[in-house]
Amino acid sequence: MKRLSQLSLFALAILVLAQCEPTLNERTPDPGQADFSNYVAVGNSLTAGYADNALHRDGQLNSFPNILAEQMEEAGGGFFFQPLVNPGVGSNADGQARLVLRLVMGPGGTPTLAPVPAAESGQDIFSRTVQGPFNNMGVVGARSFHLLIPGYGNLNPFFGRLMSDPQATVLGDAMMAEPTFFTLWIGNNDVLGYATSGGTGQGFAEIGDPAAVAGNDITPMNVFSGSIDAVAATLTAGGAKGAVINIPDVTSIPFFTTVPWNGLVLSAEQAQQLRAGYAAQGVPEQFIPDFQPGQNGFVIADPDLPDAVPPQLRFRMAQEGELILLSVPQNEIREEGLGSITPIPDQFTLRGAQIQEVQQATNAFNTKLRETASAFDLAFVDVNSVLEAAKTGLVFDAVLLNTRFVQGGIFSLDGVHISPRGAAVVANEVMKSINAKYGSTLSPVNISAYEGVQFP
Amino acid sequence: MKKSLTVVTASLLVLCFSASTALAGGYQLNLLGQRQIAMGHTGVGMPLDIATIGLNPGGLATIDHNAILLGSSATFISTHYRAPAPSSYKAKTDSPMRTPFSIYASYVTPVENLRAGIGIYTPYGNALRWEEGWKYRFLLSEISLTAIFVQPTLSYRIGDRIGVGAGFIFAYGAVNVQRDLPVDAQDDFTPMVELDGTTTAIGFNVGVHGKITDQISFGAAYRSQIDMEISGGDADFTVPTSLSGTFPEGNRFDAALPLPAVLSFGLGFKATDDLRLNLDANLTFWSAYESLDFEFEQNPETLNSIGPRNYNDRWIFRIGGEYDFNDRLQLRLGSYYDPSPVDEGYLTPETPDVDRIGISGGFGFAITPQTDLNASVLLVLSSPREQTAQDAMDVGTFGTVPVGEFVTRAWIPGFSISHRF
Repeated sequence: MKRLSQLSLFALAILVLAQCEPTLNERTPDPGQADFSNYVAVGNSLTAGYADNALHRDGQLNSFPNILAEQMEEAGGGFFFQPLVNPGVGSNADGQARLVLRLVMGPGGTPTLAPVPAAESGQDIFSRTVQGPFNNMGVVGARSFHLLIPGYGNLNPFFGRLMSDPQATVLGDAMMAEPTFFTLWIGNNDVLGYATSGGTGQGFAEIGDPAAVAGNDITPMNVFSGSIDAVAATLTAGGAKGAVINIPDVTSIPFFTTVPWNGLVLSAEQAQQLRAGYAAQGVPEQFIPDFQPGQNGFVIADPDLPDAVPPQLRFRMAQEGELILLSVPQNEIREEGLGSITPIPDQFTLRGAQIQEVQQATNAFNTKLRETASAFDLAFVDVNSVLEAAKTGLVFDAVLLNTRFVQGGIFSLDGVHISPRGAAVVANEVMKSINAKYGSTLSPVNISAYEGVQFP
Repeated sequence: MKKSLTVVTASLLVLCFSASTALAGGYQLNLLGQRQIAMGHTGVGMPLDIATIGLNPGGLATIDHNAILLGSSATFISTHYRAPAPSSYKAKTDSPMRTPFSIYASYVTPVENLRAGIGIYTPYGNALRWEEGWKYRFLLSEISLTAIFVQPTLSYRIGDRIGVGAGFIFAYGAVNVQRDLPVDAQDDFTPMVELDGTTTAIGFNVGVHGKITDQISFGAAYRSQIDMEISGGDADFTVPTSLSGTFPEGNRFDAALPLPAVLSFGLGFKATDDLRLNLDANLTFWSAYESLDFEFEQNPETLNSIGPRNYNDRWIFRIGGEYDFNDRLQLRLGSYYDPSPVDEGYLTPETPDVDRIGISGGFGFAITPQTDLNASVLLVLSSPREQTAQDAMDVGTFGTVPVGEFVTRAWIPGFSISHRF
């Protein structure tokens, strides 16, 4: 009998052991001192989920605030209501569809991948208005001071489609959602309007009038500062906590870095022909670009050359550090001698002095954003540094990401806005800062779960 | 003895609450015989049955009958992963059950003191399938590694006390690796690559067994390293058409995986007439596994990969016992300590290796005087092991290895049937 009981005890022990579970406990995200129950995202296209040159539903569903809100849900977050457009190809302000990669006939008949509109025209996203209050108050095209303009919806259809009232402000509508927590990512357009137009507007100025700021201008510093202070004061008035996100340098953005300044590759014969061509048109010797075999700077227009240079001779070779924009007609470079026989027009380049204007503004705005975060005791997210580091490559979840166009993974096909994978990177950075500031433990997302550019 | 059985039972239960569970180090499977598994996989110093063909060919000389032995285990292995704090992300494997087996036959030859035998067994193997879309799907989604050794063996008894044996090994190996590719498709599929190859190789297994006294015996064995070199394996890419230049169709790959040599020592004690004890130690020469490299026939510039592994040689220590409960029933218990050959920084999703403690038990039952049934169950216990980003950076593997914690649970029941004639 005793033997039998020992045997059964032995058998029981084996059975119990077989039920042993590995001991890796579940972690439960905690809000810390933050209250995520009603998160409202305020910002521009990057907050809205605009990507591939259009506002479309896929982009909205993968907007960084939506990704963030999903993670907040684990820590007491509530429903994140987005002003979604219907499924489809989306639209930009000009009614064009989102870009997709397609194989198109390239030079010499070889098929090459190029971003092309997904449809002949975009879907109508503007005639159907949607009823808030919304948690995602990202408004495509918005600058800092736009958030405060009553009736801004009449100027910008992306706000027009979701405003609560024809006289509403973006900020007012955001406050209608009664945020307990917010993110503020604004300021990109305050610089990008100038940068993407090739620096054709007004450069960085300390003082200016918001009413006089045109689409191609850099927002004057006093306007930016005043707007940021007002926005932050309003957002925090009800005791909400939040995070302020800074803006990236142009040299991290593929729209400015994809076409190399010295992409004009010539044989000795071609260099000779080009020089002869300029001479034949009567260009004086000292104004003929110094074409050499190998890589050459593209020939670009430079309206800022000294007055002594006749207007028709205000061109020169691009120099290292100068940027050729992605908007340049690349087929004309390949086929029609743009950048070699004829100069690349000013709206497609950022020349040295213009880059300085942009970087000076970016730095000043980022300083202001950091100070504002500090003054209102908010989390600060240095996305600029992350993208700076990503230039040479960053690894998340064994995926190598960088800021290259198409292959890099972070940016979408317009070269300015982020892809779902880029949005996941931003969301993780925002969570990192929120966790550090508020003692919360929001769980970062898996970068590998989000897509970069899709290939056909 | 009864008391010790209770003590062992109690300590098993304690272990259950203090540790969690895992299989043998690296991709080794020490499952060469059911009687031995039940005794902590000991038996190099004491040839209990003809599974000694695999464990120590020298022991075969002491066996004075013809026999066949058919056995198999079933592996139930579950690995869990947890991402570094504060992530709430967890993933687990959904690994298919595998059935490592061992088949032995022995023959008492007409030549005096000469025994012949053959063993067919699976000393290495791995099967792991991570849940779909897991965090490190670009490193690995699924792996299957199979190695089958066929070992004809001769063993010769010198005098009354010494046996020597040697076997020639013909090895067959098959590997299948699947992982997602870090590109995205417009169409509704996940770009991935499947690498599939088989190969054969040869090696040897030699051993010596001796009786020091009637109560004490010893053994030593050495099984050689066998390199599984896959040449021209299929590399099957499922990718968007526009990327077929980078990931060409019909591509082939070369890769090599060492199945390391093992040096084993064992001591056997006949403590009483009805109690036998074994102490074994195995040194696995894991340092042969330096790197797992894939070389591709087409587009090697982009596709070739080098995966440093830098495993270390490791000793496994084992203890086991067998108690004759009555004339027909034997009870067995054993345990072993199997430290991981893998340093932090080199843990990979295919072998998220941990230090392991094995606990085994089982019984043998004589169905007839000639026919035995053996059953065993092996539980492999381990604590969670963490690999940090710093670990990976320190050894230069960051970006190619997972970061986080792993724990593995394994329970491996098995049985065998043997017949003597």
